[in-house]
Amino acid sequence: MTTVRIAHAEPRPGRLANGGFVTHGHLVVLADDAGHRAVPIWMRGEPGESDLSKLLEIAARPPGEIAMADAPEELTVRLLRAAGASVTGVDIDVTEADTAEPRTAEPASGA
Amino acid sequence: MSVEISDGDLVRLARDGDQVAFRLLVERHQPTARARARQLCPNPSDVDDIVQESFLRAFIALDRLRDPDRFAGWLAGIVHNVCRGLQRRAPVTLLPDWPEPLHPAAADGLPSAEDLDRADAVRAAVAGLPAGQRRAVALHYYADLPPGQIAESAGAARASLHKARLRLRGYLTEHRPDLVPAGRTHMTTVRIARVERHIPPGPVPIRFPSFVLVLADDAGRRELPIWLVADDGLRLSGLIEPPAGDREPARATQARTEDELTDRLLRAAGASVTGVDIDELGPEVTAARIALTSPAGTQHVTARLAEGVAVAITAIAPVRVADTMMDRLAVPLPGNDRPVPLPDPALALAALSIDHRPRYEPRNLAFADGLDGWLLNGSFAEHASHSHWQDYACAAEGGIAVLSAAVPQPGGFAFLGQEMYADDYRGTVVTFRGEFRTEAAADRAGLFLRVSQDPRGIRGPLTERAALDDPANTIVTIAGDRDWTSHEVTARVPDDANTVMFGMFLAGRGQIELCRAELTRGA
Repeated sequence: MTTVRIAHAEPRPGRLANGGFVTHGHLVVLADDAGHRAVPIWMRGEPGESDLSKLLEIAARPPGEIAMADAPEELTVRLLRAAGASVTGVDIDVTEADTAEPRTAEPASGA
Repeated sequence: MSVEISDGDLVRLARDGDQVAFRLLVERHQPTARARARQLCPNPSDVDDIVQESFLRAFIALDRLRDPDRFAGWLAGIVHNVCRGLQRRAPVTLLPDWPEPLHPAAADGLPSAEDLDRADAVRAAVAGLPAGQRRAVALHYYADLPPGQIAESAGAARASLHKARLRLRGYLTEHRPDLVPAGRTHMTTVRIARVERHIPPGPVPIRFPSFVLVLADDAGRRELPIWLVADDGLRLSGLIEPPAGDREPARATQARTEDELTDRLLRAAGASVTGVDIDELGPEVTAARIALTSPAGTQHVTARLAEGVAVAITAIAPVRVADTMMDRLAVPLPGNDRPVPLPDPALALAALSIDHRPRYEPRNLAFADGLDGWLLNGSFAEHASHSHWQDYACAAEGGIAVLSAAVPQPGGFAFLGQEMYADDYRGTVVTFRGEFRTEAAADRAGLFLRVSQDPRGIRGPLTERAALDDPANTIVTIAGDRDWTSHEVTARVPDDANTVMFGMFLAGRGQIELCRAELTRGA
């Protein structure tokens, strides 16, 4: 596996001028810094419909700043923390044609 | 001696689990938060939601407030953030809370007379403490001294502070019981009975609650109806009644929803949700308290009500509601088979006198502002690994919009269109027309109207075949190379339509152009 960095995520095609509609899709760019290459992934559908760009924005904030994630994943993280567990990694692989499936690593119990 | 409890002290008490303290913070700052929400949010119907959400998030993040004395500014920042994120989330509104707020703000947005009255009550309670306890409170909560510097030992100081808190609670219970919430032990176990869809005809506010979550108290023969906005309603109804063919999620390779993924992760960590309690943090601020057992012990996590219920459904955990809420909001069952009568949402809307959902007329039809307001999408954006997302492109110049293939063999199809709420078009016939020109479009190109009842918009899988077969779509194909030619497509908008979308599409190579676009409606 190649370790990548989530370099960029943005809603695509994006919001309309009135802000009322969004197309539940994200362009995510995974960067392989060591290999000087990047892979773009188009994400669409459930689960993973949350605003990834918002999650990334929150993740980039300094520690201690209030996290205001408007996404179910924010509660997931808080529940895992309460259970003394943390997600240690996510492997992405292709299981069949046209289907890139993320496999979430086993949460490591910190208890 | 008259001592007023500062925000910082109330924050510290709340951090120690003192529910009265946080309730006082809510009551003290609710008018200001409401006034700020009114300033930041153009839609008055959203103000209640913003205030509720802001206090809930403040409660959840209270331990992360660096300077407790700056609670007011911190809360103002939260209100600002909640307003910014308004389009994505929707908290709940309890039915009896609709007609009028419990604690209306003063006209100038400053704390109301009620608020000041409550502050006086707390001040009197502190003043009535024995000298030793009052001193401990003053040194710890006012001078910010650690317990070890208050008395000869930290243990003795903590004992004094504990006794002081008990006395404060006793005083307030006796003199101002309205400030003391019911203990969490007085709960009613409920069953998640159903989620009902209630979308009234005609224009409604953009975040109008359109689903009702019904929690049943079978023993007490009563039901608690809770209004939810569309996102939460769809989420919970999807959990209660999964789509056909998808009713055995445990056997599925992938988690179907975020909630199921959460449940799987918790199980993998050896944790389980043992219950979800629903209570109020303060006036008009509801919350769910999720109880969790794990190798780390028993923990509680506070969340939005809908999130807590979603967790309970997924984990098959019991749900309990505070007796005070049930007594105030639950509706007695009229008979064995008769459903709970619900207030008419339209009447509630009239009572609120809030603005209706904004009108969304077609925008930028002459492409004077480029492609502002237009949306590029289609099946080409569906592929996860083949990355066809650059196969089509669009541009606008000189009053003409162009949708074209960007590669020799593009994957899927693309459309360039506008989507609007159907409110102003229900019961009419709409026509989309314009001048079109195709170039080297040997495959398929044309114009379309899509009238959809689904509030979630277009859902996958999105393929050309599916688009052609979808009865929501009315499509007119333009074959071969043409000079500028007028075309139009017409569709009826039923009374239950949610959105209207119109535009042009291209499947394959070449390009299609549009100018002089217009959308009209007739009887």
